[in-house]
Amino acid sequence: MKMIRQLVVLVAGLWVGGLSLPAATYQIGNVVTEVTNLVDRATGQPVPLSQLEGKILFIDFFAHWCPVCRGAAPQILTEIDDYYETRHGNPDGVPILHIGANLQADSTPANRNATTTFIQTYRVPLTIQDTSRRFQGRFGPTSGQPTFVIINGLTNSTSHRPWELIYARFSYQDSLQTRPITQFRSAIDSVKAGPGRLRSFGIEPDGTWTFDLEGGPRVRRRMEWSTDLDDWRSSDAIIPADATFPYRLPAPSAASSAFIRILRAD
Amino acid sequence: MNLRLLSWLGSVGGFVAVAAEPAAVEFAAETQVSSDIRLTQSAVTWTDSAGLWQWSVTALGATSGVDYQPAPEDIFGYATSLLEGRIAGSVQARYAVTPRLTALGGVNAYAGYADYQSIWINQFYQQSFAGLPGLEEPEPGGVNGSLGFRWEYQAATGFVESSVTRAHDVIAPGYDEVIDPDLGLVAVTPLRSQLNTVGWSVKFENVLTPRLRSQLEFRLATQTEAGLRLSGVAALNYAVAENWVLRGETGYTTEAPEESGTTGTTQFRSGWGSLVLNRRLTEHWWLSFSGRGYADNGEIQDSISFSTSAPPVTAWQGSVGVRAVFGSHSFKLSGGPYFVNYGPVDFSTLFFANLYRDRTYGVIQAAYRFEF
Repeated sequence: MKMIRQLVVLVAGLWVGGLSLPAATYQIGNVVTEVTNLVDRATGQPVPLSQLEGKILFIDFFAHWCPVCRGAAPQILTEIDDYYETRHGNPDGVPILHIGANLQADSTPANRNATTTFIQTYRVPLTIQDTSRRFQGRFGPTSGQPTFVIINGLTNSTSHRPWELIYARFSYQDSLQTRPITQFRSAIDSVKAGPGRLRSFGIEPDGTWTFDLEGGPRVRRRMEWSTDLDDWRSSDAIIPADATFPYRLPAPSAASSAFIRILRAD
Repeated sequence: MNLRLLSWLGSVGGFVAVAAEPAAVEFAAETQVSSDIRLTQSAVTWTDSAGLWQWSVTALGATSGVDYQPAPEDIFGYATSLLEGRIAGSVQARYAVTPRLTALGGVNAYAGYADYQSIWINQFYQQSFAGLPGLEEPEPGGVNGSLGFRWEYQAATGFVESSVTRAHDVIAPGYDEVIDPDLGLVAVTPLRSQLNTVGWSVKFENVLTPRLRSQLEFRLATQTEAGLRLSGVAALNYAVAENWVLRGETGYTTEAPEESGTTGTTQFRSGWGSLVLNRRLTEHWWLSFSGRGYADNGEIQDSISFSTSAPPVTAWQGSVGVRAVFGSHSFKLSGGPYFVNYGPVDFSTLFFANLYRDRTYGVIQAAYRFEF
């Protein structure tokens, strides 16, 4: 009887323990699902996905009292935020959104003010709350800070899936003293924008096809067309991004329909 | 390690007196001033003997004035002026066991910060963690004792001296953060605040010729959470001419990072040298010129991401001094510039960029001695 009771206690313990087990840590290449329920520190409201979509998310888990966070912050500001702002995004023109993930509860006015000062001093564009460190814990240890995470927010990237984890790093300086900014930029620059979408298509009276394409500002694209989906003919021209591109199609006299596809030129 | 510059400043003295010194009292004062650091030190020493015993007793008082300036990255830090005092006492004794063997012993004790670097670093922690449970108002201090012997193994020309030293220091600690899962930082925990040091040294002094004396010294020391430190010092005293004496000294120290320490740290190495030229001007007056240099490759860092360890440093000091002896009274006055140039701080020591910045000091030393 005693053994049965112990077993019941053990099973109950396992059940309760199972419920409280922390979620598995994301690996590079995993899709991060939490982006749908991030809470804006300024408003206390969930961050709408529309604010994140189409961008590369650079998430910096910080606490105002953490000296390493304070040391890293000015370098992040000038060498990530300002660097990509002046270049209008990464090499493919994908904008970067720096998100500060605040790990310190606003438990006292001093804490609240210090966090606000930190955010204002380093011009963090969007700050979310992660005082429980649950979100941070999905990327590595929660025993310290800062943690840096880079996530692809582009839905039509040719290199990464939407919300794919590209990079995660615990602390700022490692034992080899590699420069993290170089690693951050390398991860950010690895995100390739998709070839874009066809927003509109029309045929002019003189037979000219007119395309209106949506895509990254610096992605070079070309068009291919086919009447049977087997034999694709390519345009010679590189299509400028976000521009209406006129293209004259040879008279498809025998064709009742035509298919077009847009590809990255590189 | 923080003591290295100051102790280096004081280390270039003459050789240990071979003969028993007469009873005397000496007052000495020193000041070292830069634009933001002001150090003073005053000491009185009484030396006497009775029978086979000889002893000296020293009382010392020092002040450290520091204009603390936070690094630009320390957005919550603020500038402030600090003044800390230090008192110390020391008793050194010798006992002539035989005409050629002398037993040596001594004890020292002090209360207060050993150097201005510790004051600066403590201020950083006090500002960073103000109001948090666990933050201490440190009361640094320490005691040390030594036991040894001096043996005249060659009559009047060859001496060997060896001693063991044991030291216990209480230092201002660094801190670890205590994180509450829901609230974040709620308290701090002091890190190591006690240091124990054990050292051994052996020194050989030889009168090579009537005009040339040499000194060779080796030291070993091991300290809490630090690797073994090895030092070697070589010095020569050369009577160039009747009224000219030249003294040269050079030394080297190395310390390996502790085995269990952080990876990526390198072995500490330092070297120094000095030249002192004394010229007897008249029966009563002496003039001296000295130049000293020091260089190291930076303190061993105790953490990769955040450290208080100093970057590489080079230091130079020049001074001109006069000494006057009138019967039982002697006076000494010297002074000169002292240049300290640090290498750049790296990310882990970013918050101490103002502590480890280049400084030019003016140094003045004065002493008066009366022999009974």
